[in-house]
Amino acid sequence: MTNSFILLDQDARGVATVTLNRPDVHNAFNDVFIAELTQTLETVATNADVRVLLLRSEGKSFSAGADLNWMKAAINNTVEENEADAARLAGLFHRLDTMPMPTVARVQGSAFAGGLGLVVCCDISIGVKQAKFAVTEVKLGLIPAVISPYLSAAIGPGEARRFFHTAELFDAEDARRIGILHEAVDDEALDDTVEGVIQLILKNAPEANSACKSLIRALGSRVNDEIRMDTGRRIATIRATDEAQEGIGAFFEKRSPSWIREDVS
Amino acid sequence: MTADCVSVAIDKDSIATVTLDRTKALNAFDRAQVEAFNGALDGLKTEAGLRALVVRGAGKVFCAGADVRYLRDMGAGPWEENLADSQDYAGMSKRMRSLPVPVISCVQGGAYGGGIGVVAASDIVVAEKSAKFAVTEGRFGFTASIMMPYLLPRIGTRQARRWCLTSEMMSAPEASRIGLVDQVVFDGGLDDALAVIIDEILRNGPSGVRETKEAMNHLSLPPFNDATVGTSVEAFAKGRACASAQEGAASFLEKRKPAWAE
Amino acid sequence: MTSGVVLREIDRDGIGTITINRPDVRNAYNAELLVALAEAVDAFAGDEEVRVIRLRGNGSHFQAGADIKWLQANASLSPEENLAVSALTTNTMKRLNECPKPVIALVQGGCFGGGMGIVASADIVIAEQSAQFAITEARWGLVGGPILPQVIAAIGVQHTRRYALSVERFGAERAHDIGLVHQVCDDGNLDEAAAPLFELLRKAGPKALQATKALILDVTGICLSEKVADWIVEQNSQQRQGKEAAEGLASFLERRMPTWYPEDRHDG
Repeated sequence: MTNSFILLDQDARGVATVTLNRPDVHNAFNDVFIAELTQTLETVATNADVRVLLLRSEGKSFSAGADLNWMKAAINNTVEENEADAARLAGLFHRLDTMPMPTVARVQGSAFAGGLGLVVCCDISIGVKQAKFAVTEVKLGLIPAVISPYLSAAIGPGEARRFFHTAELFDAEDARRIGILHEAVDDEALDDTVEGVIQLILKNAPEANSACKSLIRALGSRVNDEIRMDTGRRIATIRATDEAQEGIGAFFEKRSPSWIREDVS
Repeated sequence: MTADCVSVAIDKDSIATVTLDRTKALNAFDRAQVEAFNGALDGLKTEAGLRALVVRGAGKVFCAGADVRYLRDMGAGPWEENLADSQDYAGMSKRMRSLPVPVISCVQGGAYGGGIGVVAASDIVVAEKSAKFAVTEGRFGFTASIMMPYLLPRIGTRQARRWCLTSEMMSAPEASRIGLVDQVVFDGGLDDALAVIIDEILRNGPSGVRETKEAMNHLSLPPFNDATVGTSVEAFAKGRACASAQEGAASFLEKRKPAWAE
Repeated sequence: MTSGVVLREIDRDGIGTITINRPDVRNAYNAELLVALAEAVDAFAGDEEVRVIRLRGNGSHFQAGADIKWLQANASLSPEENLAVSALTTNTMKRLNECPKPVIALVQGGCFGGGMGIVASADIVIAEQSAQFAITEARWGLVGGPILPQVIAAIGVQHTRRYALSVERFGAERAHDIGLVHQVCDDGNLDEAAAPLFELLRKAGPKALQATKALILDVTGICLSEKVADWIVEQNSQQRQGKEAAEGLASFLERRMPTWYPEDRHDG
């Protein structure tokens, strides 16, 4: 397994940088990507020298979420294979969400669907004003199952009810308002702002920060194994349905899915 | 009932005001102040016809948190004493949350560390525009724990992760944006804003208000109950006993950088 | 259905419109209205033609609280009947909140007490600039348990706590800031403002929409458990039978301040 989709670097201060490296497909995830990213995060998690994890990506977009070619191929899998697949995606978010050290996301471009999941599973997310966001799944007849526990915890049920159903595109200002981003800055200011956050974290005791993360999770998190597994089952089920197959097929064929009536009032 | 560091006054409309008054320490909590605060609130529990509690801090700053020496000493001492003291410390916010009337904090200058705990456990928070807020514990190697059951329902886990892990300074408008503060007023405007809120509260049926507060405590996430408070107490006691906390306190008192910030 | 306290209509695009229809009394709710509302929600939930639900109120106000005549009648109910009233309100809010299809609420004018619960139970809310909101129950010596879980889910426990204890009124912009309202529009422009939203929903897979709603309900924990519902119903019912609630109602009917408001603050 080559590690080319995910790059890992570490500096003398204990800042580990994980870079998503599939810029030609907007850092979309497929099974290889998911496995490599999860493995890389595991490596960082067990490294006692790491005090901050910085998650960034190459290219124009932060991450467009699930690779639709991968999603399309999954339709031919058995239910068990689908569920196992979805469970691995859920495992990725869980691993990122529970890293022992503080995590910072550098959001240099747009984040959709699963890409949004990565953003909200980090502790602090700094993005650029030009970035766009969307929970796109329903447009394809799919549902944002695996990211839903993390995204709805970040933005609250009220905003989840809106954005999950409309699949609308929204901007960095809205993303900041609802809690996806902590700050939205000009392109030129992104690296300085991220560096500023890292320096603040380094002023805090590593042990204290780690204990703080655990306490926040113990008291504030609703996500548990049962919920995670259930979200995996839901996406596995829905992507095998006629409606989802029609939605994904329509996307690849660059046409409207059949549920959109053309002769509207 | 008054002690040197905490005073209590009740007006003709049965509005109580508890004022932290240890200005030379920026109203930071030590053992005596914790006891005095708890004593004041216990007295108010039996005050017939009480309609609201206002919490204020004398001087320039609302409350700078907990006294570092006090935290260090408790952490360095026997575990049983550390735990018992932690329970007393947690008792302050527990009493605020259990009091069957609205608790309103009026903040000028700043609320840091444990001062955020007082703010978070209040039902309504009014702050001056120039007031600053910071969850400073991590800087000193401590874990923000006692405040967590109250902070999380206020600002949510997304904001808690940021502000607790960076310990950065927050402006009053930002505090309002994320829900730590309910209303921001221009400097000097606390009394007027408080008067409006008090008047609204006085128009409401006292038992309706009491039942509403109880419903909120019941429906909150995390819920306000012994298990939640217990988790935070344990984390607090452990947190101030650990090596980082002891180094954090020592470095602060010795006026040097802590080892992790070299 | 074109007459009655709750109207229903389905259009060609699969939008089912539920209209609260008691404009002469600001759409105040009573048992009849709650039952009709729940029935309308259930009917649309089970109708394959309906993809999304539009919820609105006729007249100048969306829903301005409980019907006074009904409150007066409730004052002489037995404890069991009282419990049933609280259960009806709680269950109606629950059924609306847990409707399997997306609900879009269009709000104008006053939205108080029960109205807040209805709005908080919708998935997407558009409000006119001049709309006004308040969690009014405590002002009358009551406790608003039946609406609190939904309001908490919509705006967070802290804003709910503040507004439920003070009973302060707030406007559409503030409602937007705290997350109760998703979009604010000019007065009179609700349908125009809602059009792009319905267009987006039209493009979504209908089954995916339902599966997404089901996902949200489960993952966010906003479904009302039986245990919590029972607690709310008991508390709500007890409070309504108390002396304070009686004084609250009397003060309203007699157009005076209640006895718990200090004498020396009364106007003139």
